[in-house]
Amino acid sequence: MKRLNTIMIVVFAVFLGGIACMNLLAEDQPFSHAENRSLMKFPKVSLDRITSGAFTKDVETYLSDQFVHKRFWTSIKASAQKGVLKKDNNGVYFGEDGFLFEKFEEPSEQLDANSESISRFLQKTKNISVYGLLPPTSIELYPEKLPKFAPTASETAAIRRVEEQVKGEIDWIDAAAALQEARDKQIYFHTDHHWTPYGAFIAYQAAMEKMGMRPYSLDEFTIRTVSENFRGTYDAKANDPFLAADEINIFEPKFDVSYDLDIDDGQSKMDSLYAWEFLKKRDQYSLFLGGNHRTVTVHSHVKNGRKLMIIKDSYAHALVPFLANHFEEIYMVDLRYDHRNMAQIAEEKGIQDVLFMYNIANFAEDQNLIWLRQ
Amino acid sequence: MKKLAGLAVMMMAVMMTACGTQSGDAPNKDAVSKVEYADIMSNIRDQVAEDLKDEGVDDLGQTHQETNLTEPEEDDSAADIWMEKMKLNPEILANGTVLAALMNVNADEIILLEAKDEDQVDELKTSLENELAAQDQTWKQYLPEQYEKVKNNKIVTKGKYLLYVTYTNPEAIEKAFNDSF
Repeated sequence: MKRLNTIMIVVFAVFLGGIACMNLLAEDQPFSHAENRSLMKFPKVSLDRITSGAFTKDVETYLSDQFVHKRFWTSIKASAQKGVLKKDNNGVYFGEDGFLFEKFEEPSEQLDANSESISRFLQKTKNISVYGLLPPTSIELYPEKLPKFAPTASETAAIRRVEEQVKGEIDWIDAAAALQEARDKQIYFHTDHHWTPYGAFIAYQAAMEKMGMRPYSLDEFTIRTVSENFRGTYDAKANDPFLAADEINIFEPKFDVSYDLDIDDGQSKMDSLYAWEFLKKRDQYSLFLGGNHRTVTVHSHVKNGRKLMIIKDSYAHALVPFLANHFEEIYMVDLRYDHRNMAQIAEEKGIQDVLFMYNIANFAEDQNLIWLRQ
Repeated sequence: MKKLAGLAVMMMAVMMTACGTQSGDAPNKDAVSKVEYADIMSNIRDQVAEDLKDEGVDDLGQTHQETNLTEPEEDDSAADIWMEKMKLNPEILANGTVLAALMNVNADEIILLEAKDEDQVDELKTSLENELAAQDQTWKQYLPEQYEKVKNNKIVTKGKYLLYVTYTNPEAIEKAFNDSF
């Protein structure tokens, strides 16, 4: 018995002492790629900060941020939670067939305010055709794969609410219905909050129909797998090491194309719709157009004089490769980073069509559409 | 018994420090009211201009836009939008300015407000907290470097004045604000 005690004490002391030593010896990491955020460095010491409590608060964050092999310990937590049949981790549901889902909260007044912002924009764009595309996120398409009794609000109801609230000349593209029909295809990533190029292709066909143009069909593209190890934002939250990674399949036109991209009005250039270097990073969705920018202008081989403005979130990035084959110029803006008067800019640039493109979950919460009211 | 007394003294000490941290938030009553709003704003503007010069930007107007909330320039609708966005009550606002990036992937945002009456400072502070929640929502998803700035945001009050700073070096702006008094 005494011997057992000694063993227990030794094991315990080595475990606790060992981890403490590893923590002391390990070098601090400035950035976590898995979580895509900067980690806390050792806080500044000053009498002011000690008395105000800021110092001790920061030390606490510092210790939890810089804990050795943090990803390993948190994945144990995630696995344990799954083991005891907990249905979510950090707000992400563990669905069937390797699907991760994010809960859609009942929309707040922000959704109504955003509808109003679009209505106000429409008052100023008289000679421009305006379209709206609000795709649902994966949770709306696969309710049967959700854990039982996992609460979530209806995205379809939210989309209808916006369509009814917005006053003025706008054509809504019913992406939800088209996606519903294609739900047995991989239209959403399992581990990320975005749709796949396949999902975007489905919405593109619906959009073309609304815009009165003939879309290219599936057999006019070669589908190529460019990544088999994509772990997206849901994965970062769920942190489940046993979950399979996603593939990224891009659509390459069989016809001749050429594009040149201008980022942030002349800040940098790209000659492809894909920024391949992101396939080596965690945030592989940034493959499409190089991620989030203030503005991106796409000039294509099509010389038909048509100019489209897209006021958007990142769902548009997978869609633009399809739309680029129909417009001479696409001017994409992100209202988070650009507070200029967009109705005025559309007019100055001689734009004929404007597309609002946000996934409904983002649209319900975004607080920057208010800049459309200028 | 001695031990118990020692323990009691320690407990008292802990409780006193705990209280100490809370009172730090209350508006500072010593603030001299003679200070002019325009002077504070000009000190803050100078600090931002100086920082931008170090980054190679000569003119603040190239990258930032200043919006006067109480006396907006003609056909500048940005003032109304800021007021609406923050849910600011114009009735209680004597002066207000927003200095923010107009077209830039940059979370920088400095807001200076002056309440008509010191009692209304708390209500204005709520508006600034609304703006902080909005900035958090905007920046949390991508661009961790910018989100760091939002997380280090400072809201400071002094007398009738309120300062909101999302900035690379918020302490510098806070100092420019404090030194104005």
